[in-house]
Amino acid sequence: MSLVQTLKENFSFLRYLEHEKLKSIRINGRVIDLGAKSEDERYFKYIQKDNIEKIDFCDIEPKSPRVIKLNLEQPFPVGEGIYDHVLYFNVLEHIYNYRNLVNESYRILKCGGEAHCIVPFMWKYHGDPDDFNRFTHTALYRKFSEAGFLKVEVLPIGGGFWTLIASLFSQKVKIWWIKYLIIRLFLAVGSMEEKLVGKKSSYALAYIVRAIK
Amino acid sequence: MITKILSGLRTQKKSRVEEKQLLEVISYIKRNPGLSIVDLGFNVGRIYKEIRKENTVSPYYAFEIQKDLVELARKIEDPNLYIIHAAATSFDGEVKFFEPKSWSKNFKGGATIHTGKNNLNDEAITVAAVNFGAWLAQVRPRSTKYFIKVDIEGAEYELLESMVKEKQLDPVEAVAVEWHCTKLGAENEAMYTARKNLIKLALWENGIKYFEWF
Repeated sequence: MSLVQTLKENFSFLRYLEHEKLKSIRINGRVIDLGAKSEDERYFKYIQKDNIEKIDFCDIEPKSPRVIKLNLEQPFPVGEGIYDHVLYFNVLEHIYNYRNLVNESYRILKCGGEAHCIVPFMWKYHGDPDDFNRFTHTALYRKFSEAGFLKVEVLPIGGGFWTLIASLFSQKVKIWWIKYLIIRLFLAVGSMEEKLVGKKSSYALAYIVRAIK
Repeated sequence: MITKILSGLRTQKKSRVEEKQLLEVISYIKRNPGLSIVDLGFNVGRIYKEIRKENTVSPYYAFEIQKDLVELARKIEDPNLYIIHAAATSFDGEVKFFEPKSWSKNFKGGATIHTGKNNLNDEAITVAAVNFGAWLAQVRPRSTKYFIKVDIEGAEYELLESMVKEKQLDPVEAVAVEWHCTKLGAENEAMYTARKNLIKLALWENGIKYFEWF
């Protein structure tokens, strides 16, 4: 979906950037989506899917009967080495006992399976039901490594001072096309700065993690 | 035009930072004349020449993996300069290294045993590998302490982690490390930055003077 369409549907600039990043994810086999709310989460439109055997959807507050009720703060009632892919997008920040989520996602993955996680960084407090954590890229690397993952890749989503400004300003207005103009303006400034003074990678709006067991 | 001017200013700023870092190191070596010096990644000896302006007598051990640079270094007339044609690693034996696809204007730098670095040639060249921590313990008289300059193009992580793990830091008084966190793939930047910071922490814990290098 384009930036215009994303804003028209009242989603944030960050959500647009996340969707763009999701296009690089490829899933297959047996998949579990932790913190899914419903089975038709829009992010599945962007992920590449090959030979999906089954996707289990889980949440503490299911909005559909096909979503399994699961408290991510506690050990999961799921066997070891079951899944090829574990997904948790915009969930880790809401889990006070975040180590449980990372460790359990490792445990339920098959060897060679992958965990895919998106977690906001430069983003407002948003209780769902609460909001506890913001992690730097190095913290994410260490937390996933310490859980046992053999390879951990962390990439920023929306890095740079002007992207942050675009994100913040766009949240202050309600009309989609003004948001659009604000975002385009500050992205242009950021792009010009990048050409003039070199690339700056700080101020990520979020991070995406790919961790392989 | 404006882009060129700003690019030039950026280069100048980078040079000033590098110059400042170099002066700090030289000043430290001047204040500590008893230290022996180990240069991992000797290249054409640019840093050696700067150090020798202030310190002409300390033993200077230079590790270099590129044969042509080793031959150049061996022409330097300095009885206290010891050239070692080998890669400083965590094991003895042989190791393969890779040259970059293109050389920078002034230095023949960038060759590395680290396979993950950007823009390397596919062709591997074999060179001797020296267990650096063990080598330090063997080569020194007991009282000798070292200043070590580490510029080994991405191989610094494995080397220093191994020295920390094997408790081989005792002879080390000070280190200057050039890190390559941003040159080993964007998806790996978090990993290398985290590892760098853990190594720095270990160096501080061991009472080693640490210098950020360019």
